[in-house]
Amino acid sequence: MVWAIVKAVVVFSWALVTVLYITLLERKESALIQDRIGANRAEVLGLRLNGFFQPFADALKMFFKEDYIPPFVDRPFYMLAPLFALVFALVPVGAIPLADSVKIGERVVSLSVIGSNVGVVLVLSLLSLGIYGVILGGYGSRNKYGLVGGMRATAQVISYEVALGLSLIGVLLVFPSLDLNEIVHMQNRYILGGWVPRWGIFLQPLAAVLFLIAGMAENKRVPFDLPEGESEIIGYFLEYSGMKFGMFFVADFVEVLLLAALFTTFFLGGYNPPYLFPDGFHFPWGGSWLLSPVWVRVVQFITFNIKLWIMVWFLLLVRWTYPRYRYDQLMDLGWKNLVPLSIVNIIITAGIMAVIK
Amino acid sequence: MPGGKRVKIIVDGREVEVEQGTLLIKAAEEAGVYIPRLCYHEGLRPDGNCRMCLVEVEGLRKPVPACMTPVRDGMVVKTNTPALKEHRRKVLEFILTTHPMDCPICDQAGECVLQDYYFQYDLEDRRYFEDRERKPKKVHWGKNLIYDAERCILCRRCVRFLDHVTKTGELGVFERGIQSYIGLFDGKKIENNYSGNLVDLCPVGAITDLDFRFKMRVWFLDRTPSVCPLCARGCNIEIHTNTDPLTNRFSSQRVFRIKPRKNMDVNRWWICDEGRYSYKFIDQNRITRPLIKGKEASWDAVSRKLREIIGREVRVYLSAWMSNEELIYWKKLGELLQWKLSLLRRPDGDQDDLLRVADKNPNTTGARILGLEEGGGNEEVAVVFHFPSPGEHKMKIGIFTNAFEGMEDWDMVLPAATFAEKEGHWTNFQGRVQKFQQALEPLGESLEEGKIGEKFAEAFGIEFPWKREEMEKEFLKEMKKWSGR
Amino acid sequence: MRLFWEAVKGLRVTARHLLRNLWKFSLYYVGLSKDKGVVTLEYPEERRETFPRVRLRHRLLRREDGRLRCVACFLCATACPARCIYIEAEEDPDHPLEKKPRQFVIDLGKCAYCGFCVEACPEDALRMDLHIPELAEYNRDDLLYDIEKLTKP
Repeated sequence: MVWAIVKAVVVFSWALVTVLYITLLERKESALIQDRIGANRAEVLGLRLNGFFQPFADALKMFFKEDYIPPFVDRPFYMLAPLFALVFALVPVGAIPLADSVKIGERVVSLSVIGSNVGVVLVLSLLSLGIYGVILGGYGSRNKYGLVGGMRATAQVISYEVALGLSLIGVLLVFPSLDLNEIVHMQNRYILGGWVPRWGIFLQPLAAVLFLIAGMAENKRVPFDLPEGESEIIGYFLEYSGMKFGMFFVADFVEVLLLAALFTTFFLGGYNPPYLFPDGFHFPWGGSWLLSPVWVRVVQFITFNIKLWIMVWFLLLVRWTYPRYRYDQLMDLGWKNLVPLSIVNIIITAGIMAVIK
Repeated sequence: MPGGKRVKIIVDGREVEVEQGTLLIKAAEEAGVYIPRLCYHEGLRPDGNCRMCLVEVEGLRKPVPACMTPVRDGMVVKTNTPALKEHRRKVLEFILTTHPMDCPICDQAGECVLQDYYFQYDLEDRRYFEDRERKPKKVHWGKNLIYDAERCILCRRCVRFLDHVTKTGELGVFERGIQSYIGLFDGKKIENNYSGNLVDLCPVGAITDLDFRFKMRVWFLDRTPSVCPLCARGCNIEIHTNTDPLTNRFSSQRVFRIKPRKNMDVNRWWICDEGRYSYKFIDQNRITRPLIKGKEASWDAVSRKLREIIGREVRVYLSAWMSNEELIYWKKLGELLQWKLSLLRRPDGDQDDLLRVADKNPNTTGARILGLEEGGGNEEVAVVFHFPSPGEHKMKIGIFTNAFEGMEDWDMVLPAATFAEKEGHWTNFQGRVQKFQQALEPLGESLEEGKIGEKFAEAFGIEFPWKREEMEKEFLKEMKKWSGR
Repeated sequence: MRLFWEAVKGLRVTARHLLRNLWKFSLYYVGLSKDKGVVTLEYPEERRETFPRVRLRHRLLRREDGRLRCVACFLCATACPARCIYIEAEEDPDHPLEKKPRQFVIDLGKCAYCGFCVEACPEDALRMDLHIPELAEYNRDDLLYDIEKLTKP
């Protein structure tokens, strides 16, 4: 129990700090893509560090903004919505293994908050719960634009839920486990003469692309940001201000983090860098570099972060590259392309598996 | 020369018939042709010194000054030939060699004849770059006159006015050539009662009015035709006001000056200084709210208080400053309520043989037409207009425009609008009915006397609305009875 | 499939911008290069050079003897389409120029910066060449610039 609390505090702090810096990365990356500098004014003790403290300034501002509740809203739903959005985005992060399990005495302590052996199902189910925040926000605001945003979000998320789930089936066929930690372990084997790791992205490239696209659509960010539609309907958080809006905002970035973390776990070998085994590095060209178990965990954690940031970087790059989909295009992409393709992927994978066996 | 021989002349192709002996410049005006002039003024004797009005007459070798040439039968005149235009340019250029270019400072800018003519006829850059002749500036000529010899174009209008109209002759031209300037004769100051007309006469900004100097640019002024209330002559005037909070932001002054309006039957071109400078009472020292026993009150409170006089004996002292319409309204109201009526007048004052008459009220004649006479009584209640008259009355209600000492002792003081804040008609001493127009909104809560009468009628519970047009018709009926026409 | 490659091309463009600017700006940031690589002008510290003809805040000029050039002729107030210039004239008893402004106020909150007042001025007393674009106050009345504020920018 104590361990669970300690883990929860540590992991969620890590997640939130990461999210803060994802917001900074978003601002900086978009700025550089557009030939600008980006936020660089926040100053602590005369240090600016080109915007290093900006996220804290943003958070502080968010806290002190007036939290205005319009008189016409449906209060219970209105209050619950941002909470739902944030909680259901944050909890799945707890299921992601940040490093290998640790053996302390007789007990095996998983280095994720929720060391469940059905992690995949848990994550998917929590992800689909996240939509409640959005729909309640849109509905509880009693604003037609908010409601339109909420409806769009619902339709979109439900559609892509299917593609997301189906694309993962292929991965689960290759790595037959629902335990995320186990899936990571299974990716730490090597093919082609021990040179290339058996990462999901190499075994299931199609599934990786499908998962990424479906994940971004789940995220409701730019190429798929119809629920938000800044320029036309503002979206489901139209009536929110202050910290309540802040929670929606953070939930958005937590979902980015979650998507990047899941992609890392499923397709990029999770926390393992290439050639790292429980006792240290064993390189295919013969050398080896033995490490104590603690150092292995440290290397794994760092590796996980590096992979995570690369994915976040890529997701933000996508977000700042493409214009928004039209609604019919969005639905076409989901139902007519992603879903059939993921079914084809399952059939092919299953076929190959059958042949190999 | 009334009843003189009529002659026909042709000015710029237009035929016109005028009396023999008329000056060409006037005849041309009748034909609709304006001949530029600087020294000529129709109210003064022609002098012909500015040479601006030169015209070509067929059969004459040289151009002649239109202001000095009487018409002759069959004269054919051209006023706009290229040679004449060139000539006018030269005249203007010559004047402008010495005239300072300080239009931004000069008060006359905007109504300066020289400025207008420059834009109309000249528009050339100057070619004379020597030092300007230095002459006396800012000379105080007495009363409100400030003379600037550098700006003076020596048209001598001022000299002629004082010589021939007021016949006081304080001014003369001194020195010669480029050094000449207009000056006072030794030991003299301009102190006659028509000095303000010099400012109007001066075509440039050489004579400016200390009273108006630098107060307001003339192009911001609204001009409302009105009638001077200060004597029974009823001189036709123009009230120049500016109530725009943007251009008149820093002063509370609304009326800036009084100018005469030409009316050949009443005041011709002039007004006296008394009329010109007595406009200040319109803006200063006004009563802006009703007073009950010296304390400010609302009109509602006044209406309530007025009910106290129901059933009591009342004498109304109407004033000779009220318009015909107001007088007849109050007269009818008084007849309805069985009030006694009498007339109040300002005491008679100075008169002269030019404009001023002894009667210092604008509408004595109108009041007389309505049968109002001066006098008094010892009734319980007195309603007094405009002049705080002594009289033995228990309750005194005053209707005044301006504050005065002892105002607190009155039972009621009601603020009335001045003549600039209402419209109506006065009958001058000749029996002319003249209209004055509203130039301003009534200051504060003041009301025109007709409206105050309405308040009285309301307090007495009778329906007697103040309708100016109807009252005007009523008065004209009385007027016909009086004049026998 | 063709569309997929187009999408990848798009990513390449944005990534190229990102990496190039990142490289250039990093060099600039640590002081190895003068080229910032980005178009951003960091405003309070860096300012764009204004063109000489730019019309910004007004100033009132003085003559050699220290007197205001302005003679309160009201031409600027007359020319002003926003009617934001308020003047009160007064006699200047000791100076050959007889008139001076007692009060000269420009309501910069109303001013449209058209420059007509400068063109109208016959005395060259008013100019708009201060090149100060900042004009922010907490109070509208602070935008009423009187002689003192207009002569001492």
